[in-house]
Amino acid sequence: MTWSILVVDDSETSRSLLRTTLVAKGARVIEAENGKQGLLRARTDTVDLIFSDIHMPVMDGLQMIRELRMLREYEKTPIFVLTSDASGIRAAEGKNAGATGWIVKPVNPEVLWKAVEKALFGIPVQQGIIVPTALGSSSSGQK
Amino acid sequence: MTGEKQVLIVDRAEGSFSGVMEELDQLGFRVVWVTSFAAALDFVNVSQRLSLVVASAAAADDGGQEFLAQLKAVRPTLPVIWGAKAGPSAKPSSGLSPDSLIPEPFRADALRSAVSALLAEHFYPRLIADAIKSAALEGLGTLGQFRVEGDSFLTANQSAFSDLAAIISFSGDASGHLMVSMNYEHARALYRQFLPSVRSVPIDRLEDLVGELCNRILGRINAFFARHGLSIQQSTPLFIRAAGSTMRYAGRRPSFCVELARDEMGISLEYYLADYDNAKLRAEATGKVIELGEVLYF
Repeated sequence: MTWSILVVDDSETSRSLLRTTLVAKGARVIEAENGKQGLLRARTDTVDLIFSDIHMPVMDGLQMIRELRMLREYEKTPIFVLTSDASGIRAAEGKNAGATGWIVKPVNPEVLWKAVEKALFGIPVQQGIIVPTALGSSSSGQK
Repeated sequence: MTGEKQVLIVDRAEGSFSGVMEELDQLGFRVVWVTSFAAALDFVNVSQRLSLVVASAAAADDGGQEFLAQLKAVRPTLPVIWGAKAGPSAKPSSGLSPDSLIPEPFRADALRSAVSALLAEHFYPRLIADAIKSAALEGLGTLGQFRVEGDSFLTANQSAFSDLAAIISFSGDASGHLMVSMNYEHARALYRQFLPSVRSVPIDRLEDLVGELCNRILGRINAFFARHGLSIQQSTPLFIRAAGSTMRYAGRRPSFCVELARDEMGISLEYYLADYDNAKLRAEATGKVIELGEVLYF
């Protein structure tokens, strides 16, 4: 089974680091450079989990999350903010926007992957095709 | 933020201080010039913003010891820089000593170095200076054991560029900018460490790497302020390739510079704090911050 993870970050370096970590774990990675592009990718592709930076040109990450949460298919999709901004005030804004969680860069890849496992474990995969019992180890269908 | 800092220059004539006044002005000081020690003591007694006294060698020779004794009696912590003539009699032979002796005619770099050493705390209190250094090391934490080399120093509001530089400005309860710069060779080495599988790295990716490091380090500095309840918004990076060039920016405060080193690798960091809410910073640290390695679930 392949998980589709959307990575939204204006830094190519940051996206590459995430892509390397996630692909090594068997995920399919879709990338976007800003919130507007992230919205477009989410609408045209099937995404199980999203990592998004917040400080980005064109459209910031929190605005993208607000707009995604208005779409029926992304009402419950895990969306993690992955940012260098550690402010509790900003994290509260993230919560209000509809984010699932908040992670501060630089982050250990294993910490990141544990967050993926925890978020996806037991949560119905996009479009309700698969309900995993453990990430990557058990599935009831094929995406 | 406290008011403008003052430097008192004692000299019979302006000659020794050609260029120095401008240097001090660029470092953010208001320069006050007097021609006698009597006038200097009068000023010391009334000025609450006086940060430093600089006296020429000629003035110091003429009643300097007596002046120093009287000055230290009324303002024991006020630093004093003495001009030193070339030759064996450069240093006062007995009695009190100034905090720093620099050769005359004053050279801008010698004066800047002496002022930085004596007055860094005025612009970047230890709390902030330590936070900047710790943040820099935290921001580079996944890239190995960097260290702060040569401690830190102040520079006037004119930055010298390396091959690659990224600047991120910030605003809110504190405002200013952070610049991170390094040369191509070191940027390539770091990129290979980040992403070993990438063989050929174009310059724009190296630049992006410098921007990401700048973003991470500034994020850690802002986390320090957030702990004290200061809310700061940071922008996205601007990139500059202009090795050998300089940039001047508005502002009368110096920047706080740190050189970070690991093996043969060097990264330059220049932090400019234009303004901050000093009252909030002095208050007890109660602001919520998400720690590194923590995943905050909502």
